[in-house]
Amino acid sequence: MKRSKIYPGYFILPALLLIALLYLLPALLGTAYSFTDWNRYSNELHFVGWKNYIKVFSGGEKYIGYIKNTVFFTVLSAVLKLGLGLALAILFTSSRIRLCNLHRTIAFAPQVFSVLIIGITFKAMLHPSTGFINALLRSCGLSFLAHDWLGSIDTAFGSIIAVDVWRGAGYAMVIFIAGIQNIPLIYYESASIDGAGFWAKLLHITIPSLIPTLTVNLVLSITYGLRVFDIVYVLTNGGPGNATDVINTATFMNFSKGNYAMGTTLSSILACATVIIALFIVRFMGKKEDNQ
Amino acid sequence: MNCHIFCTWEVLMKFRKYTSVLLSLLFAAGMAQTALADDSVTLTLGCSQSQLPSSGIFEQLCEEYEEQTGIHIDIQVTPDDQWTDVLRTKLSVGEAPDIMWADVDGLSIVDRINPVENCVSLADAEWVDRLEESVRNDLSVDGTIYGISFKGPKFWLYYYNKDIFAQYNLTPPTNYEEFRAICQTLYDNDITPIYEAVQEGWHHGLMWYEVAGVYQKEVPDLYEKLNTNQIKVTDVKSMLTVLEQMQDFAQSGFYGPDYMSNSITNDFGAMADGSVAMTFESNGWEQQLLDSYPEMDGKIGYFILPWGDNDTLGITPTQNGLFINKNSDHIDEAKAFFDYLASPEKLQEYLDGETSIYSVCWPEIDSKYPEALKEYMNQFDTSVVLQSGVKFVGGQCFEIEKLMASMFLDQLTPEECLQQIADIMDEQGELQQDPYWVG
Repeated sequence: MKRSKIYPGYFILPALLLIALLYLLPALLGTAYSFTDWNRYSNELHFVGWKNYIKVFSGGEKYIGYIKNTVFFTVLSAVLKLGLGLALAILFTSSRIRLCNLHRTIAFAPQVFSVLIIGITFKAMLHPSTGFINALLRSCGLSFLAHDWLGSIDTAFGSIIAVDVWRGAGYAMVIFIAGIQNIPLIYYESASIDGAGFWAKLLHITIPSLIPTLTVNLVLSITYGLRVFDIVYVLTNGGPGNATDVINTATFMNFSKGNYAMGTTLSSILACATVIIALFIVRFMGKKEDNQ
Repeated sequence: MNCHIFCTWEVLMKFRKYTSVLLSLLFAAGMAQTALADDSVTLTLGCSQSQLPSSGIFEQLCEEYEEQTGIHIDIQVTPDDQWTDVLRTKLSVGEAPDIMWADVDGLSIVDRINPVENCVSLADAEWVDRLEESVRNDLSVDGTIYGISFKGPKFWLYYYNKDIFAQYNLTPPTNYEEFRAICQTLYDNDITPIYEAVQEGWHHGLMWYEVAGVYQKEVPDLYEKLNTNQIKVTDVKSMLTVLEQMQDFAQSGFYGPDYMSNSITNDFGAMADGSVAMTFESNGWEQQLLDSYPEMDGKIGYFILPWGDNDTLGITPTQNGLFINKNSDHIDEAKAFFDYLASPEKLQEYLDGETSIYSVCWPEIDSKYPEALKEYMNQFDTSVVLQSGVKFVGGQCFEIEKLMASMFLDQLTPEECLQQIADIMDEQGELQQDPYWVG
């Protein structure tokens, strides 16, 4: 590339400054506060060292339970969203499907709804006695499948994940569609000539070509899953009991109790984990792409 | 042939000149509407679902006030299990509404709303001396009053369907064993003994708070000892006993299969159609039932809570209060609204229009307790309920009741539940720098 066509480095400074002020500085300040006893009831601040972090990692099952729930939610919802999103993308880029745009719009529509509206609607639909889901199951003679979806330990988390996958699969689909449309058609034509079937094309052309798109989707899904709060809060508020509490609902609870230091501790742990995992994914997937 | 993804976007781009004109017109219309609306005053009022009287009387008073003054009261309702957290968060970030409806009592007022930091003093209001003294004290910090309240004292009873009880030769229980036997009989005959509702996050724990008379009999001066950190809740054996009884009921199926998702507002229908035999509700519930189901007249009886062989009537002196946000742009208007609500005519209108209460906390307004209920209440000694008499319980009630829900589902034993309640209280004692906790 000609040197004269490269923009000077200082062109990036305003953006870096904004990111530093609005993202980096608050994150660092929050982490600093996590080493204190910052709370609502006192204007004084005292350094307490690693006390809050020790409480999280050795404070019994409570905090470990929040971390387990967060990881479980992240992994399961990411796998399901990406799987369903990829399947929908392949389906809605097929030449055999009519009214593609309509199908894509319907699949993407849940993404634009407010989480509050989704939560209220699904709470009503999933009610064990008056909800639409159980009523439908009973009318089809499938009463044995009817459950207290949000009130039972066995089904509450699965129900939250199902609602989240319903909401987010369309977003993943849109990104996959953009990736699929960048794959040169000649690859598929050549594969067809060589006798490759659907699965061979999927495994040897589509998925390898979608590595960059998959990386983007995976990073977005993982970072969303680790930071999940709204869908859990609206559907179950961490219940039944504490069965579906995640790190961010615990953070919110600590802030509302006035224990700001513990809230920032949990947030800092989450931020650190999110950055490490995202970097790892980008590097790992980047290596895979290079090998291709 | 590949389909175009964003055909709508392409159409918009094709007609981008017209699109930009349309968007500009919409924006201008929005700005104009905002400019027009700025001339009138709107008072925002935040509350939880159950704080609003179910009869609609409060909304009616607000509408009448708007007709008189032109000031609109924008009531913003939050689900019960979220309101406490939402209010504290909003106060922390400076986005609280003009008027805040908070569940408070003398011990939890600082924890719930911290009025010295967040609320306007109402010490100069004309109505302060007309408010019942105990309520006035509960709404004050260091002798300065910050809130206003309306409802009279609250107490909870088990209401039962007399026809169902007669069908199975049952009589109201006088102790826990009789209570359990009644529930077992009903359960064996495919009737849900008790309507319970865990969804709102507050109802299922009231049983433990309301039988404080049992705990006070076991430990004399219990509240003083708990409030000065001389003992913990884990030292009170009867508290553990009641938790064990509550867990037993939940796991024996006495609350029905859907109790974790039930809403307490639906107990009227369940009692009226006979699918449940009992419900746990506050004074005034029977009248609300009869408003919707007049055919239930004469068919409802009641008895005090039998948990732990309780024989006292638990009283909540102050239920909640309305407070004015210190950062509100309309403090004078909010004060005038409080003056309006506190006028004798409006207090009488409030009591007449609200069927869920029998009295207001204003001695000048006569109560409307039914004679039968008065006679029944007079049989028992009264005790102030746990969440109103003990520090760090009322303000943490939602977190405590999540533990109880976990206990119902066998995720915690009653001992673990009680220990974690003690831990929550200790945590708050340290956070709030209570001298009995930090020394």
